[in-house]
Amino acid sequence: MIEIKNVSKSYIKNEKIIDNLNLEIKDGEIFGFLGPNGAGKTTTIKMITGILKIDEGDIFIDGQSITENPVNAKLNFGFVPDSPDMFLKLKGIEYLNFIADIYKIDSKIRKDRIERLSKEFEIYDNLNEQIQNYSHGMRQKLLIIGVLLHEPKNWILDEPLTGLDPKSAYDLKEKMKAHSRKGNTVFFSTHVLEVAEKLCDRIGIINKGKLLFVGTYEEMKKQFKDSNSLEDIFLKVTEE
Amino acid sequence: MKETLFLTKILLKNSLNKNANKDKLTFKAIAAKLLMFVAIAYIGGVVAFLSKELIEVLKAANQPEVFISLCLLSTIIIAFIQSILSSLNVLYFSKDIEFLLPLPINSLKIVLAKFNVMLVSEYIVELLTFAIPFLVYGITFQVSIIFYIMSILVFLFLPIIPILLGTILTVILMRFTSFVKNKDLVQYITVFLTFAMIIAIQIYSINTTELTDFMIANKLIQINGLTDIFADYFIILKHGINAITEIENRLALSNILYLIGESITAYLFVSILLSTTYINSATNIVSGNSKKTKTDFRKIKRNSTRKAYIDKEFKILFRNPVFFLNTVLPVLIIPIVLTIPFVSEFFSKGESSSSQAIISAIGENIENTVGFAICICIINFLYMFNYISVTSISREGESVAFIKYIPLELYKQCRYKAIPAFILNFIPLFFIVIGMNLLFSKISISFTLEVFVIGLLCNLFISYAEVLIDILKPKIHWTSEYAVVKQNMNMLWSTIFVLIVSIIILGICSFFENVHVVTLLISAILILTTIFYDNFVKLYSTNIFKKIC
Repeated sequence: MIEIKNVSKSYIKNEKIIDNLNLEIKDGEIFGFLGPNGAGKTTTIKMITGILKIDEGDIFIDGQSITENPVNAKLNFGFVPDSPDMFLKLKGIEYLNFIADIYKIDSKIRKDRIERLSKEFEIYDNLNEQIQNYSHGMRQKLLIIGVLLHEPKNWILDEPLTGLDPKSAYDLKEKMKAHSRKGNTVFFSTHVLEVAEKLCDRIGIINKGKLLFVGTYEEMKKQFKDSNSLEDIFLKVTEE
Repeated sequence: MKETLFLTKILLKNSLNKNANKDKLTFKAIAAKLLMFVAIAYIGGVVAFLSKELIEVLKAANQPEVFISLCLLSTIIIAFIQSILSSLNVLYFSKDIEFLLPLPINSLKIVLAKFNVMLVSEYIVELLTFAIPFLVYGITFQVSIIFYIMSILVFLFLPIIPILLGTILTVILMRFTSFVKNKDLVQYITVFLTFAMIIAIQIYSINTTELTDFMIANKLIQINGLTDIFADYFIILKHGINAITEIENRLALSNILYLIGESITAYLFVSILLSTTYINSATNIVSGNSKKTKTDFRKIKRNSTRKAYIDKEFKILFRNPVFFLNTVLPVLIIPIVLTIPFVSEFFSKGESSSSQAIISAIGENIENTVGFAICICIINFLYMFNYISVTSISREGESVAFIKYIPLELYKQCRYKAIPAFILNFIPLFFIVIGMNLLFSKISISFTLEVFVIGLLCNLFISYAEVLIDILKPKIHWTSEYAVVKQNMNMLWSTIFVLIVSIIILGICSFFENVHVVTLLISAILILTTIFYDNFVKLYSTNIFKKIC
């Protein structure tokens, strides 16, 4: 479970980029975080994951505060950033082994998981290459495997489907569904409205640092009866 | 033409990687600029002094124009070598290739723009290297304005053909060899060759260390003889020399016109020639050199978090040629380069030489606080060339956020990031401690141990504290790895920091006469400061890492 309580953030004094954000992503839920460019999606994700310091309020991951107990909180989630260009000089297998060491995964378990996941995501044959030789999509897959390795209860993904081929995107969506069915949480940001519509249990729309809507797709349709599609609703909400 | 110039401008701006906040005149920015100015002024002063000495020697031998010939010969050699090194990066390995290739710009314009970038870099080198010597020459002989005009023209056109030749060599290499696809390997090879050349030149130049003025003049005139031979085959050198030294008669004008004509013709001819093969080779490079090999799952084993983190740091350092060559290699090379003259003196001159006498005199009087301070300062001086810690955060680039979302305490990561620098600093440390014992045979074990202990503690403190310098002002938004190591002010701050540590040690040593007391005192200070620093990082890690996101 991810709880965001009264969170605010400013980069410049008196200009809040996130303004008193309150949000609860329950266990067993896939939550889609939507908003136009610069709305505050990535800033929110950066605060949830401990990358950015929170100015006011707090965030809890399975009850662990990201400000008070950062290491415990971080053990409870896996994060896929929006840019997969990292550790380019490492080989894919070295990156995964490094991540497994950071999360203290047993040798036998890590071998099995790396083999299984890399086959599922079809990068098994590329694991011995340096990441700099991977395509954008392959790098994205590698990061996702890195997250899945330690089987965290909470998945936090920043634009996870960007750059993935249709099969990998489908596989990832299926994995997200399976993960939530086991009573776990998936929190992800996206620009693809159809994905949010078909995949998410609940949707949150943020603009200019304020949460404008939180609820299921059905609730949203009821609230915006005049609109025909999610695209219409999104435009209406964010233009207001 | 307009398009080529515009492209040149864009490529130059991109390669400079200027800071967007350049207009902000903060105290730090002013201090940094002031320091930079002082450093440049100091180096300029040294160059001016050496030039004046050399000119006076040649003046006494009645051959002052040899100075001009040698400068121009050096220009050609520098331009040629630099073009081989830079053409690889500018033409093939720069990131802009992937953006330029899809644009509707013909290959000739790309080649011309890229060639212009190399030419501008060469002009900067020329300005830094030869502006002061030529000014000193001009002032010494009170030459007319025509001398300066001719010199500027010669320096503008003289490097064109050597750069073209260097570039042709690179293009041929890229066209007909397969290993060059491996960018990293090529960079390693070229830089190692350059270092080998520097060391060879140094070994050669050792023999000139004890020459009299007369002998230096003779030697220079001898080298000038080489210039004459060289000029017979390389006509532009003769034209360049004549354009500057024959300004009293018409020869100067005709020679400068020849030089300009030859350079422009070669520039256009070679550019047209290269444009036909360049795109093919560049496309080959972009396609990469990945090889599929099977993963050996037996090698996957569990490591401690500390080992995994430090291994990762070492792998990135050693596999990235830019980082390796600029942060690690100096630590390995500088002690060797600095030691060659001593070793050569020691083995070549025999027992009766004056340097032997000096060495044994130093050896007999080194075991006091002054000798101790000098040993530590030399060790610290060598630590200055270790830029591993001070770039440890900047090297991560945009993916630096990783260190904040993994479940590993920030202060621990800070410690782990200091370890590669700490380990590699053992090379200069052992180098000095062992070298000291080889050179001064009468040195006691206790003195050696004391130097080693303080050197070790300085290493620990400096390697660890330099990580903080980078955390406080990291250079993480870069498009080329060169920005981390070439345009990073933190490297200057680290030098100043090591200087301050050395000055404090010198100060402490000057107050005491007993080496044991000094060792105890400095050890206590260094240990306490390191513990205090470690606790400070532990307590305030969230605030310290605030700028990293």
